[in-house]
Amino acid sequence: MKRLIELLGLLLILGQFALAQRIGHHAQFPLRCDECHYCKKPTYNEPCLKICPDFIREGITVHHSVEDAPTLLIIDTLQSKYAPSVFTHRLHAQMGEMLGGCESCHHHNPPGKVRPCIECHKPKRDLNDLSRPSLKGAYHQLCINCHRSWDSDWSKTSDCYFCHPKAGESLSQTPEQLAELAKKRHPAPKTPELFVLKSDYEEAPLVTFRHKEHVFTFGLQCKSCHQDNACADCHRSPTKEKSVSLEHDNCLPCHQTAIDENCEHCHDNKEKPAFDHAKTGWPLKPFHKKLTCQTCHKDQVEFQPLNTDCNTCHKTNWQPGTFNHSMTGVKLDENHAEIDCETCHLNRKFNKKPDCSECHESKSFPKDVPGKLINR
Amino acid sequence: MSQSRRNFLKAMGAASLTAVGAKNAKATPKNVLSDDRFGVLVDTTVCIGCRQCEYACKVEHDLPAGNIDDYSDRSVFEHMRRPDHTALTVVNGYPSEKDKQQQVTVKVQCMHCDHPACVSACIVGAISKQENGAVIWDESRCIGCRYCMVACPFQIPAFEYHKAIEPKIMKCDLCYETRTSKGQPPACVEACPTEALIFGKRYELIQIAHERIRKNPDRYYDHVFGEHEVGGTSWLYLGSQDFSKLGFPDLGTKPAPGATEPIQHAIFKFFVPPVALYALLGGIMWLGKQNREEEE
Repeated sequence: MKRLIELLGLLLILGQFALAQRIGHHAQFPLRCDECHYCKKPTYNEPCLKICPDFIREGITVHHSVEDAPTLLIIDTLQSKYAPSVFTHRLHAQMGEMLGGCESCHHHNPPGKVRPCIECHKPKRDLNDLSRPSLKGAYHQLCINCHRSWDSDWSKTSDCYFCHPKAGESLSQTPEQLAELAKKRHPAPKTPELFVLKSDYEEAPLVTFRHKEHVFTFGLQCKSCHQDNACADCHRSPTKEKSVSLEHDNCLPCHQTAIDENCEHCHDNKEKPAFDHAKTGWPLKPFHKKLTCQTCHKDQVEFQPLNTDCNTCHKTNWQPGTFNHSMTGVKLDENHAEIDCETCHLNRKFNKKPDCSECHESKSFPKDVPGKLINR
Repeated sequence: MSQSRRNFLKAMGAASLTAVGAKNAKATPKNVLSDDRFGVLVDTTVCIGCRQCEYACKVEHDLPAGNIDDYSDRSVFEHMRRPDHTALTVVNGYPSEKDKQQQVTVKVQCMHCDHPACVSACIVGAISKQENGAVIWDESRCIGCRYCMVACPFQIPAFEYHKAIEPKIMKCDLCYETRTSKGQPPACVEACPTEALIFGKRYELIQIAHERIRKNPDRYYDHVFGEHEVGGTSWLYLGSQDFSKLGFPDLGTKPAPGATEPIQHAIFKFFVPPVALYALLGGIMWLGKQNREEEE
């Protein structure tokens, strides 16, 4: 009898331990139960898990370009009152690139490739998980975020027929019209040159933001800054005056706005000149000028000086026979074309001034040229 | 057949006793505030003012609905409308504080209060709160006094003034007979294309509403209208701005019948009015008799 009691006691302790471990595992998530489970008491056999719980915020991990996105989607999963509606997916994906990217629609995407809406939003609303809209609700809530401003600003009706052709017509577009729609693209937005903004920082009130430079030179994408913008912010009726404002937060991803010593990086008493790479001690010659910053400054947000030795980026072993010297802007004459690189470029330091002293006593580059200068 | 006065009284007594007994057996007290009672959550930030709910409601209640295409006319939002005998729910538009170009559209109908003032005010018990949350009107009992119209803090019940015979009190019944008593969502909820209306257990809807506010503090004004207003209502609202700017009255959290009920109930307690009336009449008769005796 005593043994039996001991055994029961042991089992009880073990049971408690197992339970504690389960709770312990779950307690690692800073979550409430109902964020993952839709019922009150989930069990191991019936966990009643929500399909796309919100804590999986990793989102899309397998990316593809806009040009690889499906061109047209014919939405006909729900058609009782209306004919199928044609959704110009690639056109919208392209517009999405100017805002939040694919994620602006494919939100809460489980890690991996982009999933279609219907994977989480089922045609029939799940009454056990009231917080998740059905497919119809999800479509409308998403589309209407942008389209409602279209409706109220321009057409002044909440006309359903803009997206939904009336029922009775199977598919109102002919194949030619569909092909035409598939080709449709959003015109490239105009990129403003620069803004000179006035801040309330008294010592140096002017902030010059060179928009074009940020896009074309620094290679930023629209969505890196315009993530929270709406279509209507640009597509307003002309009566709305356009105002530009910048907050520190807008610049924070790249510039350390929080550090006091960095103020003069943006703030000044006059319009700041464009960025000049020569000031870093490495003027960009014609060829390097064409590259984006990231080509050399890989994975860098705060740009750090690189080793200017050519081998840092160029891994090829340049030789007289294989290297086209005209690339550099100097077409070598016959005599110079045949000598070894090292004769002029001492120790193969191509980033340094070439040395003529090996053969010539009083000649130096760039005063004297071993051939002729050409415009590349 | 002769019947003595004694036998007649006996029979009447027995009959009234059985009647009382039957009534007691039938009237198990309803749990009108059960956890399972339903509600509807209206997210006005999702509503687009398409007025499909108005159309669906009219069709469901056999009211003249007209052409569905006429409902996309937004000029109706230029004036504020109230639900009436032709439309049990209407959508109104209010200027948005966040986006001057936009309107916030708000669906209005009976809120189906947890402590309904109309039920309290109805002297014949024609309006009742059901266990599933609906507040419904019983045609067979109504005497047309319209006390419910005066009592309602949201001024919802309407009356068919133009009908001489059998005018009805018209208000949203949460589609009790046809839908919600069977657990199905009301017609308006089913018609809403954006799912701005969600039908479900009231306590779950409150959780969802607070969850939405927590996740999108910029989008929502931090208040769930109907959670505590007039003691709680079945219809709950989320909004992007102060609810006083969305046409909602400021009513406090005390149940609406709170002020009137004690007075009314005190007056009618212990048969005070009939006793007082008969005492008054008896007094007048007695005085009259006295006067006649004096004249004689």
